[in-house]
Amino acid sequence: MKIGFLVGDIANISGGSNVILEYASRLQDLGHEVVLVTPGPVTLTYPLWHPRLADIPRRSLAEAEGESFDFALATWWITFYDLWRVNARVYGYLNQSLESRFHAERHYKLLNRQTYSLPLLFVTEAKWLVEFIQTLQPEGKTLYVQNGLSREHFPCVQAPPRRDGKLRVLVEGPWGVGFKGVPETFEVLELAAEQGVQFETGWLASSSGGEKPTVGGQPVQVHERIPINQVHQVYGQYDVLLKLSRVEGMFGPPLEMFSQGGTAITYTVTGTDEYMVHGQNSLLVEPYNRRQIVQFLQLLSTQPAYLAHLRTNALATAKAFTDWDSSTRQVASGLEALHAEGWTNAHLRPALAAMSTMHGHWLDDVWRGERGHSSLHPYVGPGEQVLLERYRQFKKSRPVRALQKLVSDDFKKSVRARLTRVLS
Amino acid sequence: MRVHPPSPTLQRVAFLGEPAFEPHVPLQATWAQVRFFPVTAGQWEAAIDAARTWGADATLVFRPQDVTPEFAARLPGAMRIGIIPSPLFSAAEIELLSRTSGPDVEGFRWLTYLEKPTSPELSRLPLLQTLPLPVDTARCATGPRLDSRRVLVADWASPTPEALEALRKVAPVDILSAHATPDEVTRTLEQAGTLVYTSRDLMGRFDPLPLLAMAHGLLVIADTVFASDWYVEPEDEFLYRPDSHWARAMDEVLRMPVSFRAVRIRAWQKMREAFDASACFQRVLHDAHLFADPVAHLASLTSSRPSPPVASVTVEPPRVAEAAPESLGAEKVTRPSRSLAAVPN
Repeated sequence: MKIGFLVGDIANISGGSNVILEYASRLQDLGHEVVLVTPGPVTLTYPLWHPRLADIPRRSLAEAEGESFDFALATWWITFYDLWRVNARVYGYLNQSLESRFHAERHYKLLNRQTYSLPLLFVTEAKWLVEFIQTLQPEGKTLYVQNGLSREHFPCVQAPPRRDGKLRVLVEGPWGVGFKGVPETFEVLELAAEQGVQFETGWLASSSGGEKPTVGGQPVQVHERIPINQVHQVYGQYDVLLKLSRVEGMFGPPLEMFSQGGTAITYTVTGTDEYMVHGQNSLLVEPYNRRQIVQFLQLLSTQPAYLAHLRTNALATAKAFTDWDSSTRQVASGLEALHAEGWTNAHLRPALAAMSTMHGHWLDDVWRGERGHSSLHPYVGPGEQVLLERYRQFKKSRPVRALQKLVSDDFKKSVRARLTRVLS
Repeated sequence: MRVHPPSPTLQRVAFLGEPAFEPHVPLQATWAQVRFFPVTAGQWEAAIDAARTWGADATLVFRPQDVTPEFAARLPGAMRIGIIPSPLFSAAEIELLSRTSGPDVEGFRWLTYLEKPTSPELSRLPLLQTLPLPVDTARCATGPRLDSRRVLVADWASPTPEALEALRKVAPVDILSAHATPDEVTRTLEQAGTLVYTSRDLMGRFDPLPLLAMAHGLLVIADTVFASDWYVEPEDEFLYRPDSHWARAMDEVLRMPVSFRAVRIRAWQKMREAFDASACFQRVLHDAHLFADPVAHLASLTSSRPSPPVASVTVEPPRVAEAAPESLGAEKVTRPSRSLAAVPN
């Protein structure tokens, strides 16, 4: 079978791209022809973040337009709107999260929801997504396969490493992505340090964004841009992963931590139901119950036997977990069965094209509007718009600009912050 | 949320409170026998006696500030926890709770409070955790009725007459009376597609209706939001609109249903992820035992260690809504009996 994965930014490390590459490379190993279809030409940076990245043929959308695929799978939601550009017997969607939740902007949320409006083949990794998709789009086909745990990149240790000394806590995730909750995680750790909990902290990040956090006055050890085949060495240095993300698909990092004999404290975020059990292999906290995390850290730092109980069960969970070979065989079986029975949804291509056209025109209008005068809240009425426009003109006036030049930036910032506080 | 068994000795868990709390108690749970004992007209004695006769091993009490020290001492079970479901302002009530709760008191071992305590007096109480009033989501397992066009307005949370009139021009509107019984509230929620709700406070603090509505798969359109640390996501799980925009919002919902069905489904899911009564109370009891005596808790686990959860691959699982909560430490997913991994719905 010839399978095309329509991808976004495949050249840089991310959990979502890792899932795509695991499937793509292993489907290739099973004898299928696999192509990564990219928005434009891709320049790879060496060393590669994923060792198989260079092995998989890549084509830009423009190049792929002349080809025929048995399966064309959108991945990142934006790529749904490019599906129509390739010719395929089956149009599908490797759906790893409800990506509407990644965006604050209403127009992106609304556009994202349209990606579930056609009866595609949905391949997905988490039960909550299966439920969401089947309820929203009952005419589609849904293939649920849990992501595997990579035995190459995350080989399970024999037993949790023995450690003396303070509890070692690892934070994971990029700083600047709001729903990953990294700044919030450091706030919790700071609170724990203030309350006398004894621990040391590390931070594993694809990008630290130049941040150098401290906890309890001590610098945090930063592990940045670590190639995926070395990440397990970082996990292995810590007892517990503290990850307070608010949106997850199947939630891979705690499982990777488990493989190295560590446990995890997380929110009851989507995806935790796949393998995490509070009090058995990990500790789960509802977001409103965040203060409990400090108590848990206190407990783990003073009760080594309980910590060992969680770590032992966490490792057992990882050892019992499916691997990528098994997951890929399941995906391949599903696709082969559809292929064998001649199932097709090629008739959806005109609808996909029409949706893509509307999507393009609408976004053009939104962006044009934002560049113009109305980057305003959608519920700001015409009267308020006139007032705001007058205010803008006033700010741009020559006397005001001259006055602004006389005032230091720090003072302006201070006044702005004060006004925002007073008015909000 | 999946939770390890709270304690192997925990067989029967009693819930005591006014009848209005009944929808917030699991009808059944796989982790223990559960039963709600209603307290009518402030008659605690009869409810406590009934729970004692039943042989409760643990007791959870809604509004423990209503329980006198004498009755608190008579509550059955080795673990007794008070659930404070709405903000507490009365100094007398806080003082009473300080006498009826704590590790060395014949009363409540722990209390839970719906939000971060706001006064030093509240902070000094033996608070186990933060717990907004959860919902028995297993009663709403069928999922959102996506075709329902009816709009529900609670008479205690209704918009201006002008906004209500504008709303009536767009969709049929039902008014929920403040005097409705819990059963009537449930029946009304089962008929509606959307709840429009106005409040001067954050949603869910004083009134559980928005959470109940979301658990039933209704689209909630409100002129206020939930507490930020609840992470109920505006636009993805409910719509935040001033009441002058409700008619327009309903018009969009009816004309562009695909865009808003996703919101209803996510709301329905979110309630089970973070506000499910069975899971929340199971974790309360688990943590109560854990923090009361970590060593004893750990010792109890070694005699009843469940097998670790394992991964599995399943083919088109049934609509995930399960009538009963998942069993303890054992994932309810099935291994496929065949290699075919995609079948038509």
